[in-house]
Amino acid sequence: MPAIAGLQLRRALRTVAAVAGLLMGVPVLAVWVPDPWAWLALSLAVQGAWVCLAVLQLRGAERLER
Amino acid sequence: MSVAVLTGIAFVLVLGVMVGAARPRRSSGDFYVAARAVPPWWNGAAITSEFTSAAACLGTAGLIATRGSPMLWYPAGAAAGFVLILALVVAPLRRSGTYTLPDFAQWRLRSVKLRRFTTCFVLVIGLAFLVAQLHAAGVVVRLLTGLPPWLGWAAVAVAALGVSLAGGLGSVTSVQASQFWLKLAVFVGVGVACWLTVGVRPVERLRVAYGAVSTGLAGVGDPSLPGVLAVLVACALGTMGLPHVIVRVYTNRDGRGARRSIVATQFMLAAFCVVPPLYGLLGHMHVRDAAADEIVLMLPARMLPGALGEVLTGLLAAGAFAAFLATTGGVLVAVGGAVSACVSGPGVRSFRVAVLLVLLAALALTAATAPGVSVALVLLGFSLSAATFCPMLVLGIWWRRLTDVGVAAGFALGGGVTAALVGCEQAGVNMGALTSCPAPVAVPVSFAAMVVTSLVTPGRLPRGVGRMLIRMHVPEHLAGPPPCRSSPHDDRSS
Repeated sequence: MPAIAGLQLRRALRTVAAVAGLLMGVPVLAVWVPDPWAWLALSLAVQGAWVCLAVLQLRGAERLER
Repeated sequence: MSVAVLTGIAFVLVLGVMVGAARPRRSSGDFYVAARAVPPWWNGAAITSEFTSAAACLGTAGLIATRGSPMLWYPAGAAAGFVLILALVVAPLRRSGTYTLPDFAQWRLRSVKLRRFTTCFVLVIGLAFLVAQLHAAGVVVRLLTGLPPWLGWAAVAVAALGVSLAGGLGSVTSVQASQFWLKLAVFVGVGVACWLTVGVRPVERLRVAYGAVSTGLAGVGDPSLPGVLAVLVACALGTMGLPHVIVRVYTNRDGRGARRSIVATQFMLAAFCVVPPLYGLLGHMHVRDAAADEIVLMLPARMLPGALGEVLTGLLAAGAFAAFLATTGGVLVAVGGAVSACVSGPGVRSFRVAVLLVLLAALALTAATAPGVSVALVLLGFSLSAATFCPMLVLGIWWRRLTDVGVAAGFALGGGVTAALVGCEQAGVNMGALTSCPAPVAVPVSFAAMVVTSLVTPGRLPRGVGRMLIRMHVPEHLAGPPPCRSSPHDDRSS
């Protein structure tokens, strides 16, 4: 396995952990926030979080390959 | 002017966009991977267009309207899958230089039998998506024009077939990317127009609580917290292995371009993800008596009776047809490409024959199944993809000890568990929310089967696995010339 693959894997696993935490955490967290606006805002905010994670992952992966 | 006439005009409008965007192609590279020359933002629009299918446009909004607030999380699960693709799959898969998922399986595991096995799963998942699109088209035609549903199937099938036969993935990519912007403008524009007439009341009427466990095909629409989480797992992991999404990775020039395509997709998907909640909330307030698939299309006429409502309904029909055609065309070329390359090797003639046969099979299945199951069929496709292709791609890219026997065992167990759980649930055997949506059970089973079986079959380790991993992980500008491999002769990956 080339060394760069190990570095990329560590970078990828951090992103995967963040996705898993948000994906499972936000619907559970919403149980304690019984406000319709909060649910709607959270469901849309998660989309913004995916965009941020994607951009961070892209930058990190490209930096490792320079 | 009646809604029926406006629907006809909408279909002609969408066909016009298709004809304007489609470009006839001739080479195998054009047909299978759009000559590997699609710019990232254009590819991102095509991926988003393909992904925002009838289920996303009509089905999810209908679920939010009928099943309530827990369904707000569904679009988040689907979009999360692209972050996982970006992190784990996209660049190495593109650098492998293969054409399709079965091609990757054969190249990485050196097994023609595994390629055939993989093609079977591609076919099953593809047919689930195609039948969902055709059923949804039938619902739209019946609801808006009063004509029989088969006319909707036929219209979508003929249009998608024409684009696919004309230029394969190259042609379909142009059509999908154009249709994405049409779809986004129509759905957001009409939704905002309807919203402005009622103010903030829809949100205030939303009841925010998880409900009791209820069953549907593949767990769709279950409003309990475990049920929602199970569907999110299926959507996020299933996206990673969808054949029509993965084939897009191959259309970029290199791994860097493929990564950027997925980031572009994430931006566009985030923009489109306002659509299901918007229509779901409005539908929850105004169209509570209709079937889930019909709510979106009935909304403008209920909220704005008269000519304005009819015109807005016609515009929605245009957006819906764009959704059906984009997904149908994409799935058709992805599955047709995989089947033709497996059966007779890559070639334009075999590609066209395979596309035609796949479409005929989808039409036959549509005629044999009941309408109103679009979202469930799509979720079934996601679950199957999560339990088969997701483990193969992750392990195949990151773990050198994977063997062909291991992958076959994972496919058999993951696919088998998925089929068994869905079968039990359909037969009325309720084993709880986590089993009604099979992914949380089937995915770990599949991963475990692949790892354990690979470890006990070290003799099946393909020769040259080290070179394969270097090829996938070392960026193009640092890698040497590509080695000989099993991909088609006119591969332009280098």
